[in-house]
Amino acid sequence: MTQDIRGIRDAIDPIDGTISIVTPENITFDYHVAGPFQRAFAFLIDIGIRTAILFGLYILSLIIDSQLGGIGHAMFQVVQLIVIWMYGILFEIYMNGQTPGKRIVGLRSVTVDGKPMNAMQAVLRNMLRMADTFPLVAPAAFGINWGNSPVFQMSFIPTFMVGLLVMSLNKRFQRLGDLVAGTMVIVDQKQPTQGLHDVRHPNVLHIASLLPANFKPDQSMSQALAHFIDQRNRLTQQRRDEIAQHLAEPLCKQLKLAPNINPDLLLQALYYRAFVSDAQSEVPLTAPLAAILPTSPSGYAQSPYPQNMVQPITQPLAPQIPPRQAPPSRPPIRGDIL
Amino acid sequence: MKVAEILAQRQHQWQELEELCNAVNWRSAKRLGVERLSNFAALYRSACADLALADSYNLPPDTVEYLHRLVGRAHSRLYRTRRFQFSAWIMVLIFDTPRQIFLDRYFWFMFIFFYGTFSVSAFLAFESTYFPDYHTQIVGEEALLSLEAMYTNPIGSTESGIGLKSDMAGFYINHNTGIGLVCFVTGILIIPGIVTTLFNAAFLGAVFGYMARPDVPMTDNFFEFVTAHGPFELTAIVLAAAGGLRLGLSWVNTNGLTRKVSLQKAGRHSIPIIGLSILFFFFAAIIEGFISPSDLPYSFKAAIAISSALFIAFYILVLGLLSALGFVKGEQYAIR
Repeated sequence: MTQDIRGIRDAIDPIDGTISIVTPENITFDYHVAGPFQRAFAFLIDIGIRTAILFGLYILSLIIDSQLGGIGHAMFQVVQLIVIWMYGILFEIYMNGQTPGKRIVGLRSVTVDGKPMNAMQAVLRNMLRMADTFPLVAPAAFGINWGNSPVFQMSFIPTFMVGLLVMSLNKRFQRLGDLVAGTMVIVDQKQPTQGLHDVRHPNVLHIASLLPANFKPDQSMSQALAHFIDQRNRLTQQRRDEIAQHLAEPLCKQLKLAPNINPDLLLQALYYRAFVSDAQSEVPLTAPLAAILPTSPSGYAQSPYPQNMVQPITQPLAPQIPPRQAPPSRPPIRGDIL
Repeated sequence: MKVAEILAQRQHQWQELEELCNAVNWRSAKRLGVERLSNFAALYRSACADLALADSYNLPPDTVEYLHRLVGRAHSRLYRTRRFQFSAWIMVLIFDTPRQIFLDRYFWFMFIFFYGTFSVSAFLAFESTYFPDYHTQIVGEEALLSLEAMYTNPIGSTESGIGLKSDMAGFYINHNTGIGLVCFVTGILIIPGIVTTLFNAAFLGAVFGYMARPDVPMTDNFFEFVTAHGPFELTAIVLAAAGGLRLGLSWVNTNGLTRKVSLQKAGRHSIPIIGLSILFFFFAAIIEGFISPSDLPYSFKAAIAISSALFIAFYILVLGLLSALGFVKGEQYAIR
């Protein structure tokens, strides 16, 4: 609601949908803004839960009706009103910006400057959800006929086109209700991976020991190396070499290394030098590394091409083609044209 | 110091913070105990410091990303949504809201627009010599038939009473509250808002006018049902439509603000009026659920209607005028 004064408004990165927040601790961190389809999923879960609650209350009202006659249904009507309109409001106030659906999906509504919402904002954004559901389309437009009861005559299917349109027009994926209340929905999930990748292959350690003792990759190079190591498990060996070559070739010249060092191995050695150890020995530092690498998703041993990595370093760079595996023979399926 | 060593030092603290985040999410924070909770703040601050120093530590990108997520999660658990402040809301309702509504031109416009349309429509439907088909054109043949069917049996009669009660009360509570909310939220899109309000005023007017015709047999049942909750419900619709109109016009006539800021400002201003509208709908729903369909005498229902109309008039006119003239000093209570 308050207009931020720290210039956060325009700090959003349009490419990966993050927004920077300055905390009272005076540090800046990024929130991921939730897109329409994550939110739709959470909304569907909420609809399901709400319907279940209403169904339970309806059963309860029938029981009360059978005992006291008539009063249960009237109570149900009043309570139903409260459940339908207060579901989002009360949950978002008492569950700190989350409804059950948002909690399951891992979303949270906060103000545009990353602070928790207040009750007024929760009221506004939940009341205005209906404006986002427009235009409402009569079921008849889809060929659905529910009979002539006035309840069904006056029911409409929400299309959420206004909400989608407004979301697509602003950087925080705010729907109309969010815009009025000054809120946004952020992703509140764990990041599964962290830590360093295990590159302690003997050949890598060997190359690391060949690097000059005073050579230390600077910051931008270490970041590039980390990006490469993050991605390399998804690549084939030729692709790794091809990408690594752009950095490896000039480095070989600069560091006066043999020009035919495998570029992929060289970059791993540099990664090792940048992040893990300065040590010149080839002996791997098992104890501390083992302690910090349990979450590493990609141990070297699990690499799809373990055999090709082990090659004499000083040999001329031969084109490396992974042994092509014969396609697994599958049992013939009935109806197959062979 | 190498990144690997830094990670080895810090990682267990991050994991502890992660566990605390999960615990706070699923359990009541109080049950964690003072020690762990105070630990939470310390761990959060140190994670903040780690993130701030990520560049100088030269942490790899996905560790930085992890820290962003971790700090974000901890941040959104440390700073929490405030609860409803009931006393502040009640003060606003007593002192600020009447003045605001009394001085609200959107409210008076909608008041005249709604009740004007309602009266004209009621007259057209009532006048059977010059406009014999008006009510069917507005309400529609089928809806009219189902309305007539609903009010054929006397209210609160014993054998058909339960079915009548539940069907009518249930349908109308949701339907009329729905009308009010639709008037509000479509108001943000101006034209749909005006059209919705116009249609509902004409529709309700036509139903009232038609039911008041001397040759319609279910007149008594109809008025016995709608009288008691009528004032609250119709006024609530007017209030909701006025709030919606304010929102809608705010992004057309921005008074020099950007459209978004103007919309947010109008949203803040329309909160009390919407709150009052919800309150009136709630009163109406209670009356409608328990009193209207009961077999209490008509005089009692009429007394409720008159007293609720007087209450609304007192609230908006008397309290509003007094506090607009400065006799009732309403402080600007901040609603949070």
